[in-house]
Amino acid sequence: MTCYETLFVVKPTLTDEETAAQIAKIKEIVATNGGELLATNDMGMRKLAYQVEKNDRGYYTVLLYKAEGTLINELERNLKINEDVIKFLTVKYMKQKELTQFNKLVEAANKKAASVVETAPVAEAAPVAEETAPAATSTEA
Amino acid sequence: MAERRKFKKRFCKYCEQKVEFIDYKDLAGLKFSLSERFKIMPRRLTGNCKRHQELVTVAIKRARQTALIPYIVDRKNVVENPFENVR
Repeated sequence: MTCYETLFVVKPTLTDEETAAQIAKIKEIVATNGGELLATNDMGMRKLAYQVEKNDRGYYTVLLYKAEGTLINELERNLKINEDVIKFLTVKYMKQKELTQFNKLVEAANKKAASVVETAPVAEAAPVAEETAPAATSTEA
Repeated sequence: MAERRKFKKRFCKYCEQKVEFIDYKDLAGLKFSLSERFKIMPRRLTGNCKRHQELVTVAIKRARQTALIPYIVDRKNVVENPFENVR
Protein backbone atom coordinates (compact mmCIF):
# COMPACT_ATOMS: atom_id res chain seq x y z
CA MET A 1 0.00 0.00 0.00
CA THR A 2 1.33 3.38 -0.98
CA CYS A 3 0.16 6.84 -0.02
CA TYR A 4 -1.31 8.89 -2.81
CA GLU A 5 -2.88 12.28 -3.17
CA THR A 6 -5.23 13.13 -6.03
CA LEU A 7 -6.39 16.63 -6.80
CA PHE A 8 -9.16 17.13 -9.31
CA VAL A 9 -11.14 20.09 -10.59
CA VAL A 10 -14.84 19.83 -11.40
CA LYS A 11 -16.53 22.14 -13.89
CA PRO A 12 -18.09 25.29 -12.40
CA THR A 13 -21.25 25.03 -14.53
CA LEU A 14 -22.68 22.17 -12.44
CA THR A 15 -25.11 22.71 -9.59
CA ASP A 16 -24.07 22.01 -6.00
CA GLU A 17 -25.79 18.61 -5.97
CA GLU A 18 -24.20 17.59 -9.26
CA THR A 19 -20.75 18.61 -7.99
CA ALA A 20 -21.29 16.63 -4.79
CA ALA A 21 -22.44 13.66 -6.88
CA GLN A 22 -19.30 13.82 -9.03
CA ILE A 23 -17.06 13.91 -5.97
CA ALA A 24 -18.98 10.99 -4.41
CA LYS A 25 -18.57 9.05 -7.66
CA ILE A 26 -14.80 9.45 -7.63
CA LYS A 27 -14.62 8.53 -3.95
CA GLU A 28 -16.58 5.40 -4.77
CA ILE A 29 -14.01 4.40 -7.41
CA VAL A 30 -11.31 4.64 -4.73
CA ALA A 31 -13.39 2.58 -2.29
CA THR A 32 -14.42 -0.17 -4.73
CA ASN A 33 -10.85 -0.73 -5.96
CA GLY A 34 -9.49 -1.46 -2.50
CA GLY A 35 -8.31 2.04 -1.62
CA GLU A 36 -8.40 3.38 1.91
CA LEU A 37 -9.59 6.99 1.89
CA LEU A 38 -7.86 8.84 4.72
CA ALA A 39 -9.03 12.42 4.23
CA THR A 40 -10.69 14.81 1.84
CA ASN A 41 -9.67 18.41 1.55
CA ASP A 42 -12.41 20.47 -0.03
CA MET A 43 -10.74 23.57 -1.44
CA GLY A 44 -14.01 24.80 -2.93
CA MET A 45 -14.70 27.02 -5.91
CA ARG A 46 -11.58 28.86 -7.04
CA LYS A 47 -10.56 31.04 -9.89
CA LEU A 48 -8.28 29.21 -12.32
CA ALA A 49 -4.94 30.79 -13.18
CA TYR A 50 -5.65 30.21 -16.86
CA GLN A 51 -8.64 29.09 -18.89
CA VAL A 52 -9.25 25.35 -19.01
CA GLU A 53 -11.74 24.22 -21.63
CA LYS A 54 -13.09 27.79 -21.61
CA ASN A 55 -13.79 27.68 -17.87
CA ASP A 56 -12.59 30.51 -15.64
CA ARG A 57 -13.35 28.83 -12.35
CA GLY A 58 -13.32 25.32 -10.96
CA TYR A 59 -14.30 23.31 -7.90
CA TYR A 60 -11.14 21.86 -6.30
CA THR A 61 -11.11 18.69 -4.24
CA VAL A 62 -8.13 16.80 -2.82
CA LEU A 63 -8.33 13.12 -1.86
CA LEU A 64 -5.68 11.58 0.40
CA TYR A 65 -5.67 7.79 0.37
CA LYS A 66 -3.67 4.59 0.66
CA ALA A 67 -3.94 2.18 -2.23
CA GLU A 68 -2.21 -0.25 -4.56
CA GLY A 69 -0.69 1.12 -7.74
CA THR A 70 -3.28 -0.55 -9.96
CA LEU A 71 -5.97 1.69 -8.51
CA ILE A 72 -4.28 4.74 -10.01
CA ASN A 73 -4.66 3.39 -13.54
CA GLU A 74 -8.34 2.76 -13.00
CA LEU A 75 -8.92 6.12 -11.28
CA GLU A 76 -7.06 8.15 -13.90
CA ARG A 77 -8.85 6.29 -16.69
CA ASN A 78 -12.18 7.29 -15.16
CA LEU A 79 -11.07 10.88 -14.59
CA LYS A 80 -10.01 11.13 -18.23
CA ILE A 81 -13.37 9.83 -19.47
CA ASN A 82 -15.37 12.08 -17.15
CA GLU A 83 -16.18 15.29 -19.00
CA ASP A 84 -17.06 17.18 -15.84
CA VAL A 85 -13.51 16.84 -14.52
CA ILE A 86 -11.32 19.42 -16.22
CA LYS A 87 -8.00 18.85 -14.39
CA PHE A 88 -6.48 16.22 -12.17
CA LEU A 89 -3.10 15.43 -10.64
CA THR A 90 -1.94 12.41 -8.65
CA VAL A 91 1.10 12.64 -6.39
CA LYS A 92 2.82 9.65 -4.79
CA TYR A 93 4.36 9.95 -1.31
CA MET A 94 7.24 7.51 -0.97
CA LYS A 95 10.14 8.84 1.10
CA GLN A 96 10.03 9.03 4.87
CA LYS A 97 10.13 12.83 4.86
CA GLU A 98 7.29 12.97 2.37
CA LEU A 99 5.27 10.52 4.44
CA THR A 100 5.53 12.64 7.58
CA GLN A 101 4.26 15.56 5.53
CA PHE A 102 1.50 13.34 4.15
CA ASN A 103 0.33 12.51 7.68
CA LYS A 104 0.36 16.21 8.51
CA LEU A 105 -1.80 16.91 5.45
CA VAL A 106 -4.24 14.19 6.51
CA GLU A 107 -4.50 15.67 9.99
CA ALA A 108 -4.99 19.19 8.66
CA ALA A 109 -7.66 18.05 6.21
CA ASN A 110 -9.55 16.14 8.90
CA LYS A 111 -9.39 19.11 11.26
CA LYS A 112 -10.72 21.39 8.53
CA ALA A 113 -13.54 18.97 7.71
CA ALA A 114 -14.48 18.69 11.38
CA SER A 115 -14.58 22.45 11.85
CA VAL A 116 -16.80 22.82 8.76
CA VAL A 117 -19.29 20.28 10.08
CA GLU A 118 -19.38 21.99 13.47
CA THR A 119 -19.87 25.51 12.17
CA ALA A 120 -22.22 24.64 9.30
CA PRO A 121 -25.48 24.25 11.26
CA VAL A 122 -24.86 27.50 13.14
CA ALA A 123 -23.57 29.82 10.44
CA GLU A 124 -25.33 28.53 7.36
CA ALA A 125 -28.79 27.34 6.38
CA ALA A 126 -30.01 23.79 7.07
CA PRO A 127 -29.71 22.34 3.52
CA VAL A 128 -25.99 23.13 3.45
CA ALA A 129 -25.49 21.23 6.69
CA GLU A 130 -27.28 18.23 5.24
CA GLU A 131 -24.91 18.21 2.30
CA THR A 132 -21.78 18.24 4.40
CA ALA A 133 -22.98 15.46 6.70
CA PRO A 134 -23.03 12.62 4.11
CA ALA A 135 -19.65 13.69 2.83
CA ALA A 136 -18.20 13.35 6.33
CA THR A 137 -19.68 9.89 6.82
CA SER A 138 -18.31 8.63 3.52
CA THR A 139 -14.75 9.56 4.53
CA GLU A 140 -15.05 7.38 7.61
CA ALA A 141 -16.38 4.39 5.67
CA MET B 1 19.26 45.02 -10.33
CA ALA B 2 16.22 46.14 -8.44
CA GLU B 3 15.30 42.53 -7.85
CA ARG B 4 18.78 41.68 -6.74
CA ARG B 5 18.61 44.28 -4.01
CA LYS B 6 15.41 42.70 -2.73
CA PHE B 7 17.32 39.51 -1.96
CA LYS B 8 20.45 41.04 -0.49
CA LYS B 9 21.06 38.68 2.38
CA ARG B 10 21.63 35.31 0.80
CA PHE B 11 20.72 32.38 2.98
CA CYS B 12 18.34 29.53 2.38
CA LYS B 13 15.00 30.41 3.92
CA TYR B 14 13.93 26.77 3.89
CA CYS B 15 17.10 25.47 5.55
CA GLU B 16 16.61 27.91 8.39
CA GLN B 17 13.06 26.73 9.02
CA LYS B 18 14.11 23.10 8.44
CA VAL B 19 11.51 22.53 5.74
CA GLU B 20 11.60 18.95 4.48
CA PHE B 21 8.78 19.08 1.98
CA ILE B 22 7.08 21.85 0.01
CA ASP B 23 3.40 21.45 -0.75
CA TYR B 24 2.28 22.58 -4.19
CA LYS B 25 -1.09 23.70 -2.81
CA ASP B 26 0.54 26.19 -0.43
CA LEU B 27 0.58 29.16 -2.80
CA ALA B 28 1.61 31.73 -0.21
CA GLY B 29 4.79 29.72 0.38
CA LEU B 30 5.56 29.37 -3.30
CA LYS B 31 5.12 33.08 -3.95
CA PHE B 32 8.56 33.74 -2.48
CA SER B 33 10.26 31.89 -5.33
CA LEU B 34 8.17 33.42 -8.12
CA SER B 35 8.84 36.59 -10.07
CA GLU B 36 6.16 39.16 -10.85
CA ARG B 37 5.48 37.35 -14.07
CA PHE B 38 5.29 33.99 -12.36
CA LYS B 39 8.65 32.75 -13.52
CA ILE B 40 10.68 30.63 -11.14
CA MET B 41 13.30 32.87 -9.51
CA PRO B 42 16.87 31.67 -9.84
CA ARG B 43 18.81 30.46 -6.85
CA ARG B 44 21.32 33.31 -7.09
CA LEU B 45 18.53 35.79 -6.33
CA THR B 46 16.49 33.95 -3.73
CA GLY B 47 19.44 32.36 -1.93
CA ASN B 48 17.76 28.96 -1.80
CA CYS B 49 20.12 26.02 -1.51
CA LYS B 50 20.19 23.51 -4.33
CA ARG B 51 18.18 20.87 -2.49
CA HIS B 52 15.37 23.23 -1.61
CA GLN B 53 15.39 24.90 -5.01
CA GLU B 54 14.70 21.48 -6.53
CA LEU B 55 11.76 20.97 -4.16
CA VAL B 56 10.43 24.44 -4.97
CA THR B 57 10.73 23.81 -8.70
CA VAL B 58 8.73 20.60 -8.54
CA ALA B 59 6.06 22.25 -6.37
CA ILE B 60 5.72 25.22 -8.73
CA LYS B 61 5.44 22.98 -11.77
CA ARG B 62 2.72 20.94 -10.08
CA ALA B 63 0.84 24.09 -9.13
CA ARG B 64 1.01 25.20 -12.75
CA GLN B 65 -0.39 21.91 -13.99
CA THR B 66 -3.40 22.21 -11.73
CA ALA B 67 -4.12 25.82 -12.76
CA LEU B 68 -3.30 27.17 -9.30
CA ILE B 69 -0.68 29.55 -10.72
CA PRO B 70 -0.31 30.64 -14.36
CA TYR B 71 2.38 29.39 -16.74
CA ILE B 72 2.84 32.82 -18.27
CA VAL B 73 1.53 36.32 -17.76
CA ASP B 74 1.08 38.24 -20.99
CA ARG B 75 -0.96 41.05 -22.45
CA LYS B 76 -3.37 38.78 -24.31
CA ASN B 77 -4.74 37.06 -21.23
CA VAL B 78 -4.84 39.60 -18.46
CA VAL B 79 -5.31 38.05 -15.03
CA GLU B 80 -6.44 40.84 -12.72
CA ASN B 81 -5.36 39.32 -9.45
CA PRO B 82 -3.71 35.91 -9.74
CA PHE B 83 -3.23 35.62 -6.00
CA GLU B 84 -6.85 36.32 -5.22
CA ASN B 85 -7.17 32.96 -3.50
CA VAL B 86 -4.08 33.44 -1.36
CA ARG B 87 -4.79 34.63 2.12
